[in-house]
Amino acid sequence: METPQGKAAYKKKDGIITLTEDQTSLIWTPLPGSGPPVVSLLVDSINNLQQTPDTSAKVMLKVIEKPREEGTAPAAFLFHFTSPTEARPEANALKALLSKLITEKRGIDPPKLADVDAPANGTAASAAMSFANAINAKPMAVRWFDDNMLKGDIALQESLLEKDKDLKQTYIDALATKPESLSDMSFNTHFWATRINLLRSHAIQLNQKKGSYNVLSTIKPRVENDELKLNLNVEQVQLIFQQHPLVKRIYNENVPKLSEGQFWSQFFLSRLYKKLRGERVADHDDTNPIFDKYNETDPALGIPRSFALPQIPHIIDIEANEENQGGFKSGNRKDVEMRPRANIPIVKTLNSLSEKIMQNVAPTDQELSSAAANEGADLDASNFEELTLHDLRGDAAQNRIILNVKERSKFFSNQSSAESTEETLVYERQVPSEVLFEIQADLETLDDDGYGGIDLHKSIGVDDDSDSDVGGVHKQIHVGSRGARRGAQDQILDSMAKKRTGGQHLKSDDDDASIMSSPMGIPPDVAQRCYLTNATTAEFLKQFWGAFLSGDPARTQELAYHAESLQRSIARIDALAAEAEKLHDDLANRRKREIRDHYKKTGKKTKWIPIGGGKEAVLALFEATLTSLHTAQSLYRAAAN
Amino acid sequence: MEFNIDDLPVLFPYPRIYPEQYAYMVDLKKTLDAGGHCVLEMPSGTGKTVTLLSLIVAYQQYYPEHRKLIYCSRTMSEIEKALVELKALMKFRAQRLGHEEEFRGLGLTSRKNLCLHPSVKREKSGSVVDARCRSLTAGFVKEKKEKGEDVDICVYHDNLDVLEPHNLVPNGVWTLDGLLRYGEQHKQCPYFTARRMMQFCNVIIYSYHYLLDPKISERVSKDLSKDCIVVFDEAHNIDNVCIESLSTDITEDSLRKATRGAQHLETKISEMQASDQKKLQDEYEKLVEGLRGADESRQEDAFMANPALPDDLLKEAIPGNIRRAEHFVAFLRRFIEYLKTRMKVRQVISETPPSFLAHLKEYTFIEKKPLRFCAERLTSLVRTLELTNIEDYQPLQEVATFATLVATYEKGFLLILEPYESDTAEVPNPVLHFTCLDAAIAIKPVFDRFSSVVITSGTISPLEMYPKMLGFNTVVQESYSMTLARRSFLPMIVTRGSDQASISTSFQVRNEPSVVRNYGNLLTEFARITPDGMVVFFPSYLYMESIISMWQGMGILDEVWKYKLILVETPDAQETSLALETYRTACCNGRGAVLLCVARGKVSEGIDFDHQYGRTVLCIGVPFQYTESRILKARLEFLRETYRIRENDFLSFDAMRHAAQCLGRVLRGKDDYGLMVLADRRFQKKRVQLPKWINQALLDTDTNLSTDMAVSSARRFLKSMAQPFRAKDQEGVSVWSMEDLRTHQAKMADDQIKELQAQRDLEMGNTLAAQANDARRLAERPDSDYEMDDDDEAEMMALDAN
Repeated sequence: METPQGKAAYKKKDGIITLTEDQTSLIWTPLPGSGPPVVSLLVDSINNLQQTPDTSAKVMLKVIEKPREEGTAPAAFLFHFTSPTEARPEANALKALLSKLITEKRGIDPPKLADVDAPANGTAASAAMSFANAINAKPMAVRWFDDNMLKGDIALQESLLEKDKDLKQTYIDALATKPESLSDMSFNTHFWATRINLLRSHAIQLNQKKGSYNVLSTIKPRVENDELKLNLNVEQVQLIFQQHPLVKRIYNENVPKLSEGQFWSQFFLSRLYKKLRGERVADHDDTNPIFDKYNETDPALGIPRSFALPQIPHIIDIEANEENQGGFKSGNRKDVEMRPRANIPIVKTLNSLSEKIMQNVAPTDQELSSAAANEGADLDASNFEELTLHDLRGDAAQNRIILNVKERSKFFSNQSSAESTEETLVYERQVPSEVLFEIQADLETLDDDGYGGIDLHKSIGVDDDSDSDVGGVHKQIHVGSRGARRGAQDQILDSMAKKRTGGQHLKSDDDDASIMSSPMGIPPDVAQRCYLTNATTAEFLKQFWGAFLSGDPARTQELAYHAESLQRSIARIDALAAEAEKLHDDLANRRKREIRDHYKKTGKKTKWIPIGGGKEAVLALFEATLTSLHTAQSLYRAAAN
Repeated sequence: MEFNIDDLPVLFPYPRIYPEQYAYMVDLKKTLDAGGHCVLEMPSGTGKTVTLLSLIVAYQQYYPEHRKLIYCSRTMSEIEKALVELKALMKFRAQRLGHEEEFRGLGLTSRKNLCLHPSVKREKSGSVVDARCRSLTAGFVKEKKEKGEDVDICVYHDNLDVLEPHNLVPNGVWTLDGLLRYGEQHKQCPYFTARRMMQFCNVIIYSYHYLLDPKISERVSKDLSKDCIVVFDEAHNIDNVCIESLSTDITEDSLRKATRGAQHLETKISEMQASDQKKLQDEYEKLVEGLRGADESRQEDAFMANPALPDDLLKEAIPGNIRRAEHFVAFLRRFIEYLKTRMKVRQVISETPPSFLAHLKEYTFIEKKPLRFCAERLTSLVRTLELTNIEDYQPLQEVATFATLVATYEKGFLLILEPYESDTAEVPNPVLHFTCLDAAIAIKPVFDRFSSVVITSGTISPLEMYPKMLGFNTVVQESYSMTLARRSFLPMIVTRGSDQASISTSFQVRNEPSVVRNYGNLLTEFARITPDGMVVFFPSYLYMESIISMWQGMGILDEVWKYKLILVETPDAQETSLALETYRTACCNGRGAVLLCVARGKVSEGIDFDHQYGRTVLCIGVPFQYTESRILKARLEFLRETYRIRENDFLSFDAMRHAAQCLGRVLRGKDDYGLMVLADRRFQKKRVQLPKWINQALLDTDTNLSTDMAVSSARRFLKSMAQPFRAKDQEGVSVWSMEDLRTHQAKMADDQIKELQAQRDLEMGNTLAAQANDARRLAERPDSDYEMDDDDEAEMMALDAN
């Protein structure tokens, strides 16, 4: 295929834009086009492409490069196609090739992807630039603010109707009295169009999550019979790790050696625990060799805090207030009551914990100042907003919903023809009943390998005649391929089988609770530890993937650490399995001895009932986890080499 | 809105106005017209700043004198807020008048906050920033640079010299932030821009110290004219600022460093004698002639200024025995050695300056007069020697300041030597306090110099205390009550815990576990019911730290963690700023937080907790000063003897103004709401000392509550606050529209006329005139009506004009 090229101006200089021979970079050379390229962009590094819509007179292509360093703004290159006649086709050809290359690089199955070219959208021509190709989908978090999203979200609407009985009644009444000409769908849209705010608040309500809390303050270990009893659940363990990275480190370094339970009970008795809670450590407190080798000066103990604050807004800057004395500190020393002692650990702990918990929330004031730093005067405006007396500001902006009847032309039929667009003309020609019939026919023919119907199989790429499993070279498995389908089937059957074996050792009268407490015949306490180990492993995996997928070279060191912790996790599981095996053997031996004794005493043989649990069982329980650990490790190794 | 007060047209940047705002403006104008002083107490959160600025700017712009406004506030936060309000006001005026007025408003704060020099601004300590700035910007540094010597300079400062000196920054109002940004863009120093533009400003907003502290005011505020309008906002603490500006401490450590500084000076002097004898000789000759004038006054930034007040400076030549540089240094060293021996004493000594000087003379033959010139002589020497690393000489500067002050003032001052930090301490750590007892001394020059001084705050009760302590007379003294359409804040006094045992932070009981637990329960209960933010004030750092530790041990904090995040004010300002930011984020985010801080601490000054940032303020204990403090005892004694203020009255007044200040932090506007909880048995009796507006809102039934009663009352209050409250409900009651204001003005005019008539009736009291009187009254009626119409007409025209 011939490499497309085009005449394009970059920074008001004419030149030629094209791709290199091997199609790895985009280059632009100033006219006459013989010299070395001035702009050269690796296709790999292109983040996004934007093109003016076809209806626009100007033809421009904007290439957005991935930020070269974390935190810097992505560089954008704007090429203006200047060819008097061929500008549009040149640009289209170039863009089509580029987007093809980019999508290929990202490993998306190109033939199965929807047509990447955005349709020429006549109505959106007012926007100078429309997204020609949204390679990066927007995060879904913003959808609360998108009216159309809300209007289209049937599930959300239903849940709101469920909640609000009055509204539901209104809805039903309105539906019953709606004019015949209005379809259900457009009725729905009209109905919700005036109630977007309700939908939005409902959506936000549904998505509200409880924030994290100070976990150590909620755990109350009790001492019973000289033994520390505590209930820890998975969530709490995760929170402890998150809020106190040091504990995570110690856990990671020690747990295969130490059992899970021992680790936690020792932790809650250690000096470290007291320090983390900000309590004073008394001299008579026992020192624990594992936890208490970290003293207060250890940087790992202190929670890392970002002291490189950009700028604290002046209206809450206490440090600046203290310096506001014209440079001369006069006055007598404060009296003894007002002089802080400064060595109160609890005070520091309270602050750093609260800061830790709020770390993931964008700071109110910071956001304000950094946003305003760019715009200048806006900071004063936002400060004023905070200072202004709201109730003196006259009538609040009227907060009613303006009834905005769209498609008013519908009600005035004599005007309709003049204003109807092409689109509505298409609809006009359609007879609803016929369209409905056609759709129903489509649905009915779903299960056939449809002629004219919708072919679900094809849409996910099922090809029964494919011989991919016979072929030597293994192509990338796509969703509908034979291999993938078989895999899915196997997995389901497998898990069903496992579920069955899991319950088989239980007698019929056992209830669910005991299935939960000792799955596959594993003794309850081991099972409990299995759960905890699994949770912590999952946490480590999560962090591994977080670092691994970030692709950030700066995190290599961290990644190595995470990979190592994965190794330790395997070791932990093995240790658990070994322990379970030992318990199992003990139990089996005891059973055997009992049977033998019984035989000796009575001469009767008792039937040997196989005992569950043991190494096999534990490993089976962890099978999925282990697989993911191995996958992660092998990927890491592949990437590291 | 736009209205007239008498003949003065006022532009107020809101379409409505609170009745107290209008009353405040009327009284303020009365004061300015009369050219006198006033004390005004306006409820917190009712827009005091904007009211004040609207009226004074209107006054400035309307009358031909164009009196300058000097607006003093305590903290940088307050200064920035006032500047922001002023900027909005001027924008509104420009809109209404259709043109930008020729107007300049600037704020000034210390170098540390305004520095742009890339390395200097990173210094953590403000005094180091000052010293380094001086060594980069001093006059001789520039001269050296021009001679081609290799010296460090500050580009930001030197760029100012190429600009027109009266037009360093365009017209308009500059917030500190705005000025910093402008400075960065134009590479000019914001600090010096503000300082040099001070004379060309219509409004200056800066800290009290620039007017009260002689070390600073001499340099910064010297050129301000007599007819300036001076406002001290948030002035409830002004007496302490006055006292601070004339007090100083000497420690063993500072003496050690001062000795080293003196040694440095000696080496420098001998170096100069070897290389540039002429300079020293020049200096000597100048001193002989008593030439201190011309070139010194141009030095906007000498090493240090004289710490004594301008009137107390001696207008004569420096005495002979310290004119020679080496003699002066020897003199200083002798004085330092003397102080060192005094520090060795192991018992508390308290003496007056004359007794100290007598002792000094007896042992060292140091006379009073040369001592008085210490600060000035040192400044001159430092300049002659062209020293650049000034920060090394700071302790020496402290000693010189001390010397000058102790030799200048006899009455109203005391020297206290405390060898131990506390009564229980074993290791001596002596401090020699030179303490000012009389707040009137420092502020006297201000009252003498400026004709109108306005002292105002949200909490400045009892009003008569301030004229008494500061020694001035007022034209108007007024405390405004708060008009409310609904009870938007609920003050309560909690005297007992849930177990009915009384709670108090008095010294005897405050560490008892039952009291601590009761306070803890109170905190937990209010943390549970308060939405968003909650602020807790403790009487002192020491108590706060000990009670927090005890609460942690009792598991009370674990309970609080269930409902809120916990943040604490710490000794470190930066850390506290960070905590405050986290607190505010948690309040906005819905997580909610409790901020534990100290009633006289850093947070209680200048930081607002309005709306979601503070729905409850809990004042744990009466914030008394530490009564065992010797300085406080001395001051109490002085107040009793000089001003007839009883010790207990003053202590109680001082505690209550701080408590009231803490309570006032939670309100901003009448649509805001908040709970104010005073938790101490002793508050019950001190209730009358609360500002009028708080006291009026405090119902008798709420003055003696137990924890659970308070909680149920608070619940009810919060429920009622959750009911919809429309702007319309307030109209005419707590918020006036233009019509309401006009009705009020008409009524006031009417009342005034009636009053005048009554007066005249009285004068004409004889029976003969009775008939004539009736006739006159008839004749007057239409007259007065006509006047009112005229007023209205003027307003209508003004309205039309927009």
